[in-house]
Amino acid sequence: MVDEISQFKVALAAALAQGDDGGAVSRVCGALAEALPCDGVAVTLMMSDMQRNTVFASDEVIASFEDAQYTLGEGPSLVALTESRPVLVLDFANPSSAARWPGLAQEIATLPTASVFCFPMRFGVINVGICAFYRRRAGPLSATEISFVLDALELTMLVLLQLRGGGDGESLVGRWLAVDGYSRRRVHQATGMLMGQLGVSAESAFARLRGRAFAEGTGIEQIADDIVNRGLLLEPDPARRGGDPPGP
Amino acid sequence: MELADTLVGDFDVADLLHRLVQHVADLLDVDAAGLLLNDHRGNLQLLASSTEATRLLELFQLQSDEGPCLDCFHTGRQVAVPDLQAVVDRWPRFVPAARECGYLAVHALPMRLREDTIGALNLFSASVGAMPPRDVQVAQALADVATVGILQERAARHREIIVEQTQAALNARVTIEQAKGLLASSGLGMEAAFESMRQYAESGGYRLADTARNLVEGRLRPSEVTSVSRTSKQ
Repeated sequence: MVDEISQFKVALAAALAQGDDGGAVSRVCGALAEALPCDGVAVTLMMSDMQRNTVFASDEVIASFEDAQYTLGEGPSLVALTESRPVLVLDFANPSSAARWPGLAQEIATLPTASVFCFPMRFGVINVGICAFYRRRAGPLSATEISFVLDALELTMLVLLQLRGGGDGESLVGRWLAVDGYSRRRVHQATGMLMGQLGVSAESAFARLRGRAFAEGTGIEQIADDIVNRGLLLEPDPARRGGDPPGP
Repeated sequence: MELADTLVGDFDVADLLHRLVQHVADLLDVDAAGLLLNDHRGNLQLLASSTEATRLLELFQLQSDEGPCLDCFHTGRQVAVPDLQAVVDRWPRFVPAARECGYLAVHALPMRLREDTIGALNLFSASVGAMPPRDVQVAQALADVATVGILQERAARHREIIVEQTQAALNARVTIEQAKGLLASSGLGMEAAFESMRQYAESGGYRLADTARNLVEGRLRPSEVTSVSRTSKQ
């Protein structure tokens, strides 16, 4: 699994390196779609006005599935979005799925979406969006597949955040988050501290953290540690002095 | 009791786990309690602890690599260490770290339902000696209630529910860390920041995870939280 994740990092780096910045989101999502253990992938982003925007669908099937959910206002992606948790539907033909989402079950009856897996992409209150993917056969993801999906989605989320913040996606490459619980905790604490110091949203604070790490040629964890344990203060961003209000 | 009540109606895994460690620390003669869950990415992650002293958090989290919680998680069985000094060879990093925090004995109890172990409850004591069997039973019973609550006793989709619930709890924990940082930016330490948030939630009857989210999303002012906790201390 380590190898698959390394391969995915290489694929992400390649997607960021080629072509214009405008197509970067599609190329990154395309790399994700290639890597996930499934038949089709959709990525829906939460925009700053809390509107949803399905920015990528690898085929017509998952595009129709997402469209049906958002039109009807019911389905696993919406549950994943509102409850901030994965929703794993092993068999859409199972009566319990139909009972849960009757309108959707009817709408997608002719689609080959036997199983559908929806994962939120978020860090606490930083909400990037949802990734939904399907398989033509019913049944669960294996433990190794789940582990890979969670890792791959975190990497994708970091890239999407970087692109959304107007940052250079390539500056993230080689600067992913460490996996150990302790340094992750510090990154999230530092995000909160920067929110308070700079009067900005969680997403902007996290962007400052990444930007500083890149500027200093160090890891995000190292900057977080300097902020939490050594009292490092970051200057307000000159481009938007005064900051933006915390939260939506 | 209160813990069982939370299983009915509006259910929130992160909050349930915080209550669990709080109850264990209040009811039993232990000096610290913490709870780690499998994150499905190859690590045990600390979800809740009775106090949030930085060194103690490190000690809990260290057990993603070695220690009684990791062994308990892998075997699905209780691990009792009445005297840490006797097992320094077994866990060369964990034992010195625990002793540095002032702990001399440790227990790890599985969060387990049938074949599935989802994590472990970790209890530390500042004195050498085995926990009384009755206390172990109480702690295990509380852990079992919480586990059943998380898994909702459904035979079907068992594994999927574990993944869904654990990821929800992990994300809630991230929000709590963000909120700790926000509160700490006014000069509080991380431990005091957590404590003031916990007291605010408790005194108002709010869920900890909701309080954290309201803070980080700007619906609740940090000063409201810190002023309540200051009042309740007097």
